[in-house]
This record gives sequence, C-alpha cells and structure tokens, in this order.
Amino acid sequence: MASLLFLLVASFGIVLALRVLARWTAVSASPFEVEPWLSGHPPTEHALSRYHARWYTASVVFLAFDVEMLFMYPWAIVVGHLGPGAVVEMFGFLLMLLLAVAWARREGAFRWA
Amino acid sequence: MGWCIAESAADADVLAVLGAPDEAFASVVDHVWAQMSEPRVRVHVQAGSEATALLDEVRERLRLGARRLTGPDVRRGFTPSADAMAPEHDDQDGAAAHGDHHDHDGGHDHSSMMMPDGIPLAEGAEDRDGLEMDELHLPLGPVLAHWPAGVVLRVTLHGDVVVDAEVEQLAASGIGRRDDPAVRAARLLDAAGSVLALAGLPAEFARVRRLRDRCLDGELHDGHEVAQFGDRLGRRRVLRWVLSGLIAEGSHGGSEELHARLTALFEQARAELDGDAVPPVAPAVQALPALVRGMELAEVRLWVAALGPDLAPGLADQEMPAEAAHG
Amino acid sequence: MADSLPLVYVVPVMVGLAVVSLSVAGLSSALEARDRGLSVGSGLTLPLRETARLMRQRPRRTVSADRLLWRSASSAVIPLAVLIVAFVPLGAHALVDHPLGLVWINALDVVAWAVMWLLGWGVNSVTGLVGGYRFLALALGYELPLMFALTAPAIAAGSLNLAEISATQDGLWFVVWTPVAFVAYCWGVLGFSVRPPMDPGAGSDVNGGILAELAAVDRLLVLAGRYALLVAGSAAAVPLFLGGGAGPLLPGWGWVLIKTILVSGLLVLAGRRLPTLRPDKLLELGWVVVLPLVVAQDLVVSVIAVATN
Repeated sequence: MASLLFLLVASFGIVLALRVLARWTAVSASPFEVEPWLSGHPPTEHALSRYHARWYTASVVFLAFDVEMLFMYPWAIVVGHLGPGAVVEMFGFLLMLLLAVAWARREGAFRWA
Repeated sequence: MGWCIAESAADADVLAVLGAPDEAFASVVDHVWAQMSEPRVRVHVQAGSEATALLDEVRERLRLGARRLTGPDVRRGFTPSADAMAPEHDDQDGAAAHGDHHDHDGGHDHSSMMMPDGIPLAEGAEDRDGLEMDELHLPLGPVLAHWPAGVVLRVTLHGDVVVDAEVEQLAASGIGRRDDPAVRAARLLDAAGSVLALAGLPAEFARVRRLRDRCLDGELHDGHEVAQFGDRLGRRRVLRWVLSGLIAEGSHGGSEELHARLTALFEQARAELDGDAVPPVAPAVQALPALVRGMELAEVRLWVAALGPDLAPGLADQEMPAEAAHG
Repeated sequence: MADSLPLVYVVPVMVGLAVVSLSVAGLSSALEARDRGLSVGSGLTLPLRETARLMRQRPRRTVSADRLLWRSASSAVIPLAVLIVAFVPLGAHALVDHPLGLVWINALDVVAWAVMWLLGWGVNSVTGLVGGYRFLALALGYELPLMFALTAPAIAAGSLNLAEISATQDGLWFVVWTPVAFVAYCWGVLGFSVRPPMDPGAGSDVNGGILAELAAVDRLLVLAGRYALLVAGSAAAVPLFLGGGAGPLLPGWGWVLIKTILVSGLLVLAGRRLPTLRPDKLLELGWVVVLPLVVAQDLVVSVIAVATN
C-alpha cells in the first residue's frame, strides 16, 4: 500500500509540475474566463441541468449484472480446485442473468430512440 | 504539419474570415475571437488568391506573437443586468468559490440567486416520457467545423435529443462565386468529406479532401476516380452498420438513410464531372427544423453535413471556420 | 508485497510510459500525415510540437464552471495510467506486486468513468455535458464484456496476481486459447482511454464533446493522458494474455515493452480504420452479442482449468 500511495503522490506531482511549468512557458499565466462554445453565440442558460439520460434502463440492468460480477473474482481462484460442480453452479447462475438480459432486450432496454 | 480545422474556439490558434462579413456575422466572429486562447491570430482574407501568402504570414506571427497579444481576463458576450456583471479578477486558479460570489458582494442582488454569473438557470419541460427535464438551447453554426456555411440551426435539447429547432441563414459574402461542374462536384465532395470526418474516419476525410482539391484544380477529367472512391466506401460494412438506422424524413423527397445519402453524394459528384447531372429534388433550408426534430445531436450534425450542398447552395466554397495551426 | 520492485524503478517506468505514449501519438499523427499527403516525418514529431503549442497557450476557463471538479478530472487522467502500469510486472515483478492486482486494474478502469464524465460535467457547457453522458452510455456497453474478459486469465491461472498469471503461461500464451477475451479486453481499453473508434464522447459529431472547452495545459494533460491510458491498458494486456516478459534473448522488461508497443500500435491502427462506434449501436452489440461470447469464453476456460487440475 505504501508504494501505491507513493505512486499516487509521484504521478500527481508530475501533473502539478507540468501545471507549474506551464505558468512559465505560457504567453500569460493568468486564466481568462469565457462563455461556453456555442458556435459563436452567447448562452441562454447554464448547461448544468437535469439531463435526459435515455439509457437509464440499461444502466439498471448494468448495475444488477455488475454486482453479481464481483463473485467471479474469488470464484476464479478456486474453481480449479473445486471441480466441475463449481463450474456448473457459476455458469448456471450466469445463464439466468443472460436470460434476464435477453428479456430486458425484448423489453427494449438497450434501444434508445 | 499543415493546417487543420479546429473543432472549437478553445483549440483554435487562427481565426480566418473569408470575404466581407455583414453585421450579424461580424458579431459572431467577435465572439469566437474572444473565446480563443493567446497566442492567437486573426486574419481577413479578401480574395482567395491571397490566402496562401496570408497563412504563411499567420504562421510567422504565431511563432513570434507573445505577451503583447494578451486580451482581457473576462470575455463575455452575454449582457446581463448591470449589477449582475461585476467581473471578478482572481488570477489564482480554482481557489475562488464561484456561482455564489455575488452574495459576498453585499447580497443586494436578488436576481443573482437565480442567475449565477448573470446567466439564467436551465428550466424544466416535460420530456417525451412525461418526466420533468431541463431544456438546453444549443445554436449550431455558423462557425462550426464540417457545417455548411451561413446556416444557423438553433436546437432545443432534452438530453441530447432535439425537441425543437429554428433555422436562419446568414447573408452570403461576395467571394468565390464561380459555378461550374468542377465547383459543384467539389461542393458535393466537401459534404461527403464532412460526413466522413464526423463519422470518425479522418483518413477517408483526408482522401476525399485531396480528391476535391484535385477536382478544383481541374485534374479530374471525368468522374471515374470519384465513382471508384464512392464504391469502395459503400462496401465498408462497419461504416454501413454505424450509419444504419439514421433516417431523415423529408430528405430528397422521402425517407432516406444516411448511408444512401453519402453514396448519393459521390454519385452526384461523378455525374457533375461526367456531365450527366440532373438537378436533385433537395430539401430547402426551411425544411431543416422539421427534418431534425427527434434526432440526437450527433445525428443532426451528420445529416446537416450530408445535406450541406442542398442547404447552402453556392456557399460551400466560402466556408472558413476557425482554424488551428499545428504548424 | 515483498516482491514489489524497489521504488526507484518508478522513474524508469514513468519515463517509459511517457516515451511509449509519445511514440504511439507520433504513429497516429504520422498516419494522419500520410493520408493527407504530407511528410510522414512531420507527423512523427507532431506530438512534441503540439505539446509545445499547448504549453504556450494561455489557460482558459468557462463561466461558472465547477473548476475544482474540472481541474481534478483533467489532472487525474495521467495518474490513472501510471497506477495501472504500476501493477504490470516488468519481467518477474511489478512496481506494486499485489495479490489482487487484477481487481485493482478493474477498479482503476472504472475510475475512468468518473474522470471522463467529470470532464464533461464540470465545464458547464452543453457540448461537454452531452459528451460526458455519451461516454457513460458507451461505458455501459463495454464495461461488462471487459470485466468478464479480465476473469478469463484469472480462471486459467487460478490467481488474481498479475505476476503469477503471467508466469502460468509457460509456453502457451492465454491469447491463443482466450482470443475472444483478448479482443473484448482491447475493446474495453479503447473505451476507457476514449480513443477511436470508442470516442463518441469526444467526437466531432458532438462538437468535440468532453474536449471542446479544453485549452492550454488542461488540454495537454487530457490528450496525453488518453494516450497514456491506451498504453497502460496495452501494457496490462501483456501479463494477462501475451505471456508477460517471456521471449528469447531480451530481458523480461524488454519483452514487456515490445509487446506493449505492438498492442498499442495495433489499437491505434484499428482506431484509424474504424468509424466512431455510436453508443446506441454499441450498447446493444455489447450486451446481446459480445457479453454472451465472453461468458462462453469463460466457460471454456473454466472447463479446461478444471480438467487440467
């Protein structure tokens, strides 16, 4: 863990060094403030807002599958020792999940328009 | 490594204006200029013939141009009420709490609660699923890469879906009024190139661009090479798959697929060069709002690029977006 | 953790990451130069000149931007790549030799979700917002196949430690019998490094998306960071699928380097060849075609693992 922490500090240190260096190399170090890029027009409102993420159903399917997925890691280490039973159990479970995915698809969870 | 078109003001070094902009366009150009980082150079190209020399000069000015080019710290085109303006000059990055700083100025400004930095907050509307969502307004054009010259499409977005749109056409300037088969073919190739660039195929964009340059230089004597290129592209399966399902109702007299439109652009360019072109039944610029309603933003960009020669006839060769020097 | 490399190796690893990233960027722009009919040499050196250009630019920010989030996001891309590389064994040992190295890599690739989305969200621009959410939609499509692809080498080796996984491929590299997992993994690498064809969040068709408002050193950190992530992801593919440091004559780290360059070069070539994959297309492809294929791949691997044990 100590080495990870060291790496984190070192890599952010490099980023910081680049930022500091840029203050020297840039034609001006003081940032300027502009309106967002709208093809040369001023904005009519702030962009931060409630966004219509049309794929929200897909994200729910993802969350369900993603949590289950975590079981795969500990299982992967021991499956070689546990034998065929472990394979049948895990892939039976995954098959059920895949059936759920097929059902979700039929319900249109992966289609946007 | 040559010049390339910048996608936004943030990435641009050079603002090149071709021809004589009218008042409306000039204010847009000023706005883009304000958004560009120093070192930056602005040139006005009066005649096509002087462009090369001017760009060489620009390169030199970018190389030398240093601190004296520095512009003001706050550059806003939005004009809110006078007391909401109060520009603050903090030269330290990231340190200042923003958005609520007017309250620290004395709390006199009631409207700043709803208008941080003098800009209103986005407001809600019912989306197509009956949920309350915020609407955002995004003007597209005139200064935009791979976009037909002079067209301004103001779209209202729910997420990235266009629920409403308005179109206006800025006045044409007076450069490059040549109109012959080679120029018309070049316009069609420009549009095809734009679609390819927007679809994420920079290599094909570069090739079409070279074909188009040769076409303008009179090096293409017939449509053979253009047809060949179009055929090869038409056979790219992944491209066909990626563009499939992008359908515009009301394009060229009916419902049309984008991939078919792309192939048709090459076919039309070939016909121009071979001398057997028939004028297409094309949608006018006024038809654009109805055409893009319900599309997502990326789809709108692709379609407008593909319909460029129809929407801004005679304008394509004047397109001069902000350019970035990668010199 | 006793087997981790001494911390002084941080320096050559970071320098190596920077040099390989620059070379891969050079390859990308050399290809661009060739297609435009310009000299290939000018393309090769373009990344250096682009670095100089951006280091000279005046920093820029948008009105009412969430500067803390935005700056954190642009600052985090390169460290993310460094951390991934830290878990990659250079020969027998990695900078961080952790029993759960594989899970770490998975965790880090998910951090990219936050980083890329914040780049788009923090800037207070419609373009960034659309780009950020487009990235997330794409991520929903590639992430699960990527995770299942990561488990294939883990099952085959019976370990989550990258050095052990790499050592298990004695003679027969995992890529030979887990090709589907390898391809799905590379697909995911292109996704979390936002490189073409998996870059709809930064595409021209959304006016530049999460990159649109970036200038000066902020832009440099993100553009360089994308290449660094691509290289880091390719480096992680070496112990997972390509036999790690195995190879004749050269020392282990030499082979890791060569294989990393090859994989990232191939990914750049693929990116130039393929059009941007739109998230709506990819979501369905990822879930309905790729995911079952990768699960089937895992099934094959676990049957073989059980049979040979």
